[in-house]
Amino acid sequence: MGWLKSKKFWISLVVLAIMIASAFYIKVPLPHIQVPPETLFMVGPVPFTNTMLALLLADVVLIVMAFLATRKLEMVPRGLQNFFEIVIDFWQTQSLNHIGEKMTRAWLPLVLTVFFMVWFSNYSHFLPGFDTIGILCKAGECPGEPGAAHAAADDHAEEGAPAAESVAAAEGEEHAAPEGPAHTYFKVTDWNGIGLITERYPEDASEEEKHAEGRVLVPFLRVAASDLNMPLALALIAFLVIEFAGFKALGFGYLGKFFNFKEGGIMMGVGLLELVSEIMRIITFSFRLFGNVFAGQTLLFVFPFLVPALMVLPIYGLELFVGLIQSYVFAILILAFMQQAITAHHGPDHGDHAAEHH
Amino acid sequence: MEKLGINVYLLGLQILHFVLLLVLLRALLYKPILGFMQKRTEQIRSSMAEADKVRQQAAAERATLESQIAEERRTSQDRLRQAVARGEEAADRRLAEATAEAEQLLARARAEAEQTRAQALAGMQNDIAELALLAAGKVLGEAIDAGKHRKLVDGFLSQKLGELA
Repeated sequence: MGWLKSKKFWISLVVLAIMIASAFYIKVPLPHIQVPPETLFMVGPVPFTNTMLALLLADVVLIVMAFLATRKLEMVPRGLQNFFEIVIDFWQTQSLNHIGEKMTRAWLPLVLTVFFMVWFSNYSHFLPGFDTIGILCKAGECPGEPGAAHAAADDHAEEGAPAAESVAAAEGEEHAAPEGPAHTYFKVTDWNGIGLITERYPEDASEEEKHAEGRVLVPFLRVAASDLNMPLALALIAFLVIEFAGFKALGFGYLGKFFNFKEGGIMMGVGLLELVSEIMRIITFSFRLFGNVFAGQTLLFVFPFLVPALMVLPIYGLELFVGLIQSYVFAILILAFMQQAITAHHGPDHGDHAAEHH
Repeated sequence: MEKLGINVYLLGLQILHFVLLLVLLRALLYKPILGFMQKRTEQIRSSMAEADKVRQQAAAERATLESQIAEERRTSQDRLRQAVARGEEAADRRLAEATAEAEQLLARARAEAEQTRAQALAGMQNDIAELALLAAGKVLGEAIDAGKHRKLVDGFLSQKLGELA
């Protein structure tokens, strides 16, 4: 019975009790989960999404930190200068080990930017307000949706009119939920002019009711890498840079990796497989990052829905880890693939490191 | 593609964003930090080289000083040895001189003592002879020839005193 006197036991019991009680008494609606990012506004044909805004926010944090770190450089580094020096020194060492000195001079800034951008944007997810604060709009009239301009014109025309009237006007024209991405409808209460989500409309509620009364949340901020465009853009840049480095190091001999007709049919097949895997890297690069971050975001949605209190904390810990690891993986893979690209592929007769000649 | 949210404009925007961020960070962060790290590395390297140089100089100076000390020690030992030898020589010389002087003094003293004794004996002989002649004259009554007997007494006394001496 010694465990009854243990402080850890009682703390665990209290935590468990809070978690169970929260599951019964606190209702957290499951937010809308969708793969494409939500549009905040349109600039001509270009949608400005919440992931882009989050990315810019991460950029601002990064640039301000960089500015503060380099404002007054000291021989014995402290604070932010020390932080950036450690990270940059780490990547410089990695880069020197992988691609040599000359290539490092050329490509280290790119690798560092990938690392910092992914890392800071992943960690921005932990700021309060991400995915939870945004525009509450009617389905089909949210920013970037076909009815948005129409709704804006209506709002302007009926300034001060109750929301229900504009809802009715919209319904009169459409009579049903609009086409486009599936929406998740929330019940909203008004609190000093600010809409607060109380609960999610049940799935079995009629589309008309949901569309008339329900509101769709378009968050202002959403973690950037959960928008496939960001990892894909980075993957394309990485792909182009790796191929460019390969050509620069080996010249047209670089193509011999993929089109190897001199060493028989098997090697030709291997070369073609290499080519396919080379192109597939764009997909693996982008979906690895996207998958991890999107899954993390979904976990952070789902856990408070299942157990509102405390249960989400370990997931935050996990996401801290994943956010850093994914940025590391993306950057280190660029270096590793670049190393492969600049290395001649043949055996001992000319299997030397091409980078050493450059 | 649409279901995954892939949008050509967004893709282009992301690429543009990356390039701008790269340019900005390169100017604002990487260049200053890498330049500063390079500067620090060079400074440390030159400090290390300087320290090595100073260490080598110190070692060389130490070796020189040690050889100088050894030389000085050798010289001082030689001087000491020479001084001791000179001292011993001087002492020996002084001892010899003192001994010779003492012997001279002794010889002189001895000669003086001999002379004094001889003078004393001669005086005494004379007195004894005078007394003997006087006593004999008293006994025999003026019958004594002073010159003849005097010679006789002196001869006797010289013999006896010579035996005593």
